[in-house]
Amino acid sequence: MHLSDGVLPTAVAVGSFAASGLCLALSIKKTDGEDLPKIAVMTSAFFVASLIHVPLGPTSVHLLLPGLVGILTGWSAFLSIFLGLVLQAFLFQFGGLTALGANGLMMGLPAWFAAWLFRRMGAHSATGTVVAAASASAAAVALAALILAGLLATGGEDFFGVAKIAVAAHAPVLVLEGVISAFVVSFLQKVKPELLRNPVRRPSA
Amino acid sequence: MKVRLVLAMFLMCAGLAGGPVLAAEPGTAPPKAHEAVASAGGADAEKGTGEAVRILEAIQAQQREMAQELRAVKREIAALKVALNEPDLKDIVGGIGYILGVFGIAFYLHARNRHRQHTGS
Repeated sequence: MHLSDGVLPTAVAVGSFAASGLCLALSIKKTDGEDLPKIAVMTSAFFVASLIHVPLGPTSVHLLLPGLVGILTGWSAFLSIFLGLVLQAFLFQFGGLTALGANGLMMGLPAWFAAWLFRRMGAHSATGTVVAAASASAAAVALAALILAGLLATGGEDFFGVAKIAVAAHAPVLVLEGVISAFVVSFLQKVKPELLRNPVRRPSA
Repeated sequence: MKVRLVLAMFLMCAGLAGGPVLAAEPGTAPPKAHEAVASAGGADAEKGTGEAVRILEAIQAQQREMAQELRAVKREIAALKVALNEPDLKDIVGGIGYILGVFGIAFYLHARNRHRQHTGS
């Protein structure tokens, strides 16, 4: 689900760069320096996840993981995802450089949404947390598909047509990401539950 | 004298008749020669054409084989092109290295600031 060069009208590409820049600034401002190692790990995971392809009939889709990144890094998710996308564009030739802003919005906003949804659901039991993580991740993928459709609609495509195709194509990813997030979160809950409490409010040393 | 005349006439007749015969010879001779060869060495000719057909068949078979191999090579080139565009381990490790490096610098700056605040206050 990476947009390539030349798909979007220039005005939209430039506009999404500006919007991405704003989100990035906000993300950096809200990032706690103590969280940087965790963000680095999540960025690496996001960066590599798109190489994991899920075969789907004649074609294949890949993991996106915006939801998991959002759940674990909160406000910093946009920074994390944007950096991952930049490196993917440079090293893997995934998505065009001119579409970087749009791709950042497409992955970054769902990550924030997942973070918000995860906190909002604010589960108090272990199972509730896992369910919240799974649904937040799945919702993030669906939202990413909708943003993709919205961006393509600015290029003259039919919004509902594209949205239907994008969501349908990512239905397996949606399910898979929900499952992966559930496993990761339930594991972290046992091993390092403080990772899930975000933003970390440590007593200032 | 009379004998001489008869001889001359005979020669003339032979000359008259010989002209056309000589003129027709190039046209009529080859079939005759061919027939002669065919009738003389029929087995040889049969062997020659058989060999030619065999060689032709061999060339055609070789051509088919080459075409098949060429197709396989072309397929391989196409697969290679695809593989060339796919990221390999180097790209992945390099990318993770970049990420860790960037965040390492950020974390260093953060730690330095904190250290300064700590020692300053």
